Amino acid sequence: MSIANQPYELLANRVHKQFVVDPEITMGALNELEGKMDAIRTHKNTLTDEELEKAYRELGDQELETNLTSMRRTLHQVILRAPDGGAKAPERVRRMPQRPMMSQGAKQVVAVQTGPGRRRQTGAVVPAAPQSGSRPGSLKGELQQQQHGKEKALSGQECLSCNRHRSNGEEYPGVGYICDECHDAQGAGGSGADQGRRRTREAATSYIEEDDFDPDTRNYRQPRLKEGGLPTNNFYGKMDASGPARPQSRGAAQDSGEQTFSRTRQGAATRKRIVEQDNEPITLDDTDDEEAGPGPGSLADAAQPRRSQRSNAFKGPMQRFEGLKALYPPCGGPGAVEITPADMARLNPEEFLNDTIIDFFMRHIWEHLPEEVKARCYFFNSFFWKKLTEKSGLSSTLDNGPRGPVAAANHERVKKWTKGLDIFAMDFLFVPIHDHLHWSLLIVCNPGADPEDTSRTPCMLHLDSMTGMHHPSCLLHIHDV
Amino acid sequence: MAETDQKPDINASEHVNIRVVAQDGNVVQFKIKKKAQLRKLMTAYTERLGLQEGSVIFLYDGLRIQREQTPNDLGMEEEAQLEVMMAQEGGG
Repeated sequence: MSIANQPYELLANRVHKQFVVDPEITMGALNELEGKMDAIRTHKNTLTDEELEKAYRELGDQELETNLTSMRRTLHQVILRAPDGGAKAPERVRRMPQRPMMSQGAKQVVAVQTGPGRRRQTGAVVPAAPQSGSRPGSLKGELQQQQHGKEKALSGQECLSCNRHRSNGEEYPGVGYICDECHDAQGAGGSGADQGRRRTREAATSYIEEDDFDPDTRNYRQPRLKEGGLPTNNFYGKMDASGPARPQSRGAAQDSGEQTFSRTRQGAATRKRIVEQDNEPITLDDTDDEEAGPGPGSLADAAQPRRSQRSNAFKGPMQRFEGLKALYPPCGGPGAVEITPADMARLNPEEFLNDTIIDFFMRHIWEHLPEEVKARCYFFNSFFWKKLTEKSGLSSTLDNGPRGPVAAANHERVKKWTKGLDIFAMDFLFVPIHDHLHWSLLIVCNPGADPEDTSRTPCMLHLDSMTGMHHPSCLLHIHDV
Repeated sequence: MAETDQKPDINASEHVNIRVVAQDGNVVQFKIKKKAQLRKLMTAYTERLGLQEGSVIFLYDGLRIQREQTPNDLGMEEEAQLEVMMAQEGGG
């Protein structure tokens, strides 16, 4: 028992050191770390072997510390919950995250196998990296192995996320052990089919899992983010969770590496650089048998027994709906709106309404109209206005009139939105407007009316519960109402 | 005859290239199986950009798409274009 506990005590000591660190400092450390990595990358061709190795070593240690800091809340539970020994967890292939913007020369997925026969059967398999004698890669690998040796003592078999003992999982250096289920839950969707299979299996064994986050809930990560707890991207990037024998295209492998690297990268600068990267299509074809999981509105997710060990201040009464989704209209169809508990929580007093709620209610109104009225009304969704009035990048000196190039560009962006529909045949067009944290409604009446016809006058009504913010002069980039 | 010759080709291509266009004009291309649920694409996209999954909405021809839908469901052709919109919130 004491032997089994030892790794946790070591871990606890390290965590204790980190426990008082301010989250602000963590962000600073992250930025610093990122800067250093960039520096190494830039200079890796000019540095000597020794210098490079030293730099990587330093970096590795830092990264470790940073991870620890950001994980401190979760790790705290590890301290509180002593392990009871258990079978030795098989270790999984460690993948060094790959930075997407690394130069082509260094673009390789570094896979270090921690030992013979330790590769998990169903784990994410990164094909043997094209090491090609590349200096940074091999050094990194070496360093990883060293680090791994160092960290092995700290690992256990208790999952950090669900606090259960698992024999299937992955070990993260300086962090601990994450079981497969949590790993998958975090990488929700990254391995849809695999996850689907796993879920089925879980259901079959009446397996209790996921107290905190559900991959189908769109906001499952939020509480953790707020508390500075588990870094949400930390275990991401399992783009492929198929068996080792499964052939895999090189592109997919690289993607997998790239995705893995999203951990601890939340900086805006990073985001931008990622966006700027290659325009190669990302292949998402790893699993061919997308099992049709429980559809929206299904009770399957909620039916799973749930256990919450944590008192989570961020969970409201909506928690009991967690994992549920509702599709409106229930039969689906084009433009159906999916509502999650997080959306429902926005109906509470003093909460902001979001686009889903607006779209839902507009749809709800439409569905309940008499048939003859339905045909005369068209409801745009809440993004129409935003898309229509998006900055087109055209010079402001251009003709801003209804027939000018700006208007043409605006129309171009949304012309597909109403394909197969003649909006000028409608009597009323409803356009929800969102701007400056405020919603208002524009109703276009008789858009196609003949000017000669005095019985039907084209006009627009703007319903706004507040004055000022949605005044045409500050709202419209295209033309005045 | 030309039509019948073409048809098998179209059916044979299991994959479809999808361009995901952000509001700022950035484009990320994905190649996905026509039978695969778009949830995969959405997750990959949000991860890639470091976004929270619920923070963006994906539209195809102005209509919201659900995570469970597949390119086949939506009748997507090659080089189909998805629009990504940031979630909007506001008071009434």
